Amino acid sequence: MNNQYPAIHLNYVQESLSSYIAQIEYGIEEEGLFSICTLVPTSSLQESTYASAQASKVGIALGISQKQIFLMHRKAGPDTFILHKAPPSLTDAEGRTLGKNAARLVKGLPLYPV
Amino acid sequence: MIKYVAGIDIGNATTETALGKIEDGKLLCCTSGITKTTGIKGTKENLYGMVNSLKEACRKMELPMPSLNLIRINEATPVIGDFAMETITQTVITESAMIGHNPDTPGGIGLGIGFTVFLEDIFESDKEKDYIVIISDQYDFPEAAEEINHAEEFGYSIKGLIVQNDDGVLICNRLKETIPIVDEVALINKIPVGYLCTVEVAPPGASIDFLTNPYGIATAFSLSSEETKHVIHIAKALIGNRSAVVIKTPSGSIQERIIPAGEIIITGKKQQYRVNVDDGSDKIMEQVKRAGTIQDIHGSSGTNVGGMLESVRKKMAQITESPEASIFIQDLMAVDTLVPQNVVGALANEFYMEKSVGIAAMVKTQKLHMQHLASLLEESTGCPAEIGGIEGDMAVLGTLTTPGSGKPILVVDIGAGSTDACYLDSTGRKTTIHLAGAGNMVTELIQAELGLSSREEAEAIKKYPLAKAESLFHLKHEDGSVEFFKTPINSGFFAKVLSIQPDGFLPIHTQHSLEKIRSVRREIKKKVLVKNVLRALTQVSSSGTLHEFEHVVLVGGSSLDFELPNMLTDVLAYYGITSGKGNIRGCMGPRNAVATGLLYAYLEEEKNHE
Repeated sequence: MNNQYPAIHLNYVQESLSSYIAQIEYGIEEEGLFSICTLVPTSSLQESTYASAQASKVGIALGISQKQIFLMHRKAGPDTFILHKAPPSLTDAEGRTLGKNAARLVKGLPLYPV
Repeated sequence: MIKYVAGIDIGNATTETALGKIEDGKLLCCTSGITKTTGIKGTKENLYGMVNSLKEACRKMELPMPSLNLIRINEATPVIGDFAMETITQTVITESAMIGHNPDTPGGIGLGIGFTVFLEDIFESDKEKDYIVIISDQYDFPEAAEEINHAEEFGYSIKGLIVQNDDGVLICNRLKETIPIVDEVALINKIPVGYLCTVEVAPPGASIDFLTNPYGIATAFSLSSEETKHVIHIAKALIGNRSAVVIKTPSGSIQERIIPAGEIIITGKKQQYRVNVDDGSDKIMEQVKRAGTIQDIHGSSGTNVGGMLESVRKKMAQITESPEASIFIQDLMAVDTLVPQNVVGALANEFYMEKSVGIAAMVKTQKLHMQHLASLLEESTGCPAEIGGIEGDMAVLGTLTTPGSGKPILVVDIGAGSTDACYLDSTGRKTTIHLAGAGNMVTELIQAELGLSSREEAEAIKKYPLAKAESLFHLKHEDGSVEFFKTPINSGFFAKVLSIQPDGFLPIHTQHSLEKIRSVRREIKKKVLVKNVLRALTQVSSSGTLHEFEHVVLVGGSSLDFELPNMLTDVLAYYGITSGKGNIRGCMGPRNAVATGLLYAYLEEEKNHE
């Protein structure tokens, strides 16, 4: 895993829908930040996402599965989701906004309403 | 014999009760009640609020309401204030020629000049010209970037992009050459096609400097010196932006139009004084001062200010059920302000700060129907009710229960609708005056000047200090102190300016910085409240100087303000005047002055009786 530059880590599981991941990445890119995608086992999504958040230079990681998308913050501890969304009801635009909001948490700008 | 006596004060915003247990002319204990005033002060709708306020006080004393011996209500000063705002300038762009909005993330960097064309039409255009391409939301960004790259390979010269979606950075990252891209342009179909256009995007952290310079715009479009004069308004409106677009259209002309806002006619004791609203608040206030004791104020008919003053008169006539001709406007307060107004004819909902004047008017009639209200109260509670005294006198009597106060005293009651002052000199002589402009005017001005969509937010800004959530775990307060949390705050509060309320935070939905909101808030309070207290002092002083006063005590809802008492102390200390919030009965703070006054007046009457 490349930890040399400031990036938001995206941890996804095998079954997650690739279009959501792409939209989240685009959202992060539009805000001028970088992202790193990693495939992780379904059973340890939450643990590995928190580990990624701790490893990330910006302290933020997203966990993406078929059922849920959540954002974890290095400082918030292993049990706290800062943002939480359920993909079945998520449109492309909402996915993009989620990515933007993840980046805006890093930039210190107010979040867009989802 | 033990007696229970209650004093009830009906204010513009709240109804307050002071309930006393009296034995042989001595006050044994006292409780209070406070509720929102129901209906407009002085109308029979007040009854509900009065009963509720009374119930609260009775509950605290553990007294069943029917055992009350006497209820006293005040002879309310029939004063109503109203407020209106007049814009006196307006920026109009005919044949729209600019996009001056500020997207968070424009793409690319630099300056591009070319002719506007939609992406779908680029391949049918002349290869000799330079182009600025307009991309609608029909195109997703990979597609748009590919088309642009494609067109450039074909030999088209593309100098900049105007994009409808928030895709500026995404497109830019996929282009072979870096060009300026302005995104989030909502009304893309209104952009004139085929005209010369300039797109500028500044590097991160900087703001544009070519299009904010009238000579820059003149260079881009080869304007004559006469034409350059007209673009000054565009340049002015774009200052501070990170990105902008200016398009030259043949009949494009921009004008700052002065709207005739009307004339105010003040009838003084001896003569009439006239002043134009356009002249600004200083001129208006000068005429108000010159007029001295005002008989009545009118606005020239058919103008906005005329309509506003007449509506105040009409409202008052309805409440008091008296003819409009018997209602007189007796004070007026004008304040200059800057209000964001949409630029007429702009393409991306741009606004520009336009000059305007806020006007509060105060109306006084012969008498409110308080006697009627007293008998209604008597009916519904089954206890005898009477009119206890005049509001101003009662306020002074109540305020004198503040520890450390003494005669001569000036009591300033800053309410929601009007500022009332009552001066009691050392010989016992009283002077009462009523001035327009109080808490509501401050709220309205804050809302207008910051362009807030909700009045609730404006009210919160007025009442409570601000803070900014700088991370998920800490807040920075407006005084610079920092507060930390163990658990992350609601992500909806992140990086927003928050109003610190007793029961939590209220996010303020605005782009303005905390410092800007704070300075607007303080400036408005100075312009309205501090100025009104100084006006009150000058009007009641017999010599015209402020040095004759010793104590100024603030009472009423607006004096609960967290910074006003300090702002006043600052100003008044210069004249050697002690000023501060009242503390009625040593425990009520600045509330309950009139209600307490009613109760104490009863005690005095009892004493004299004996």
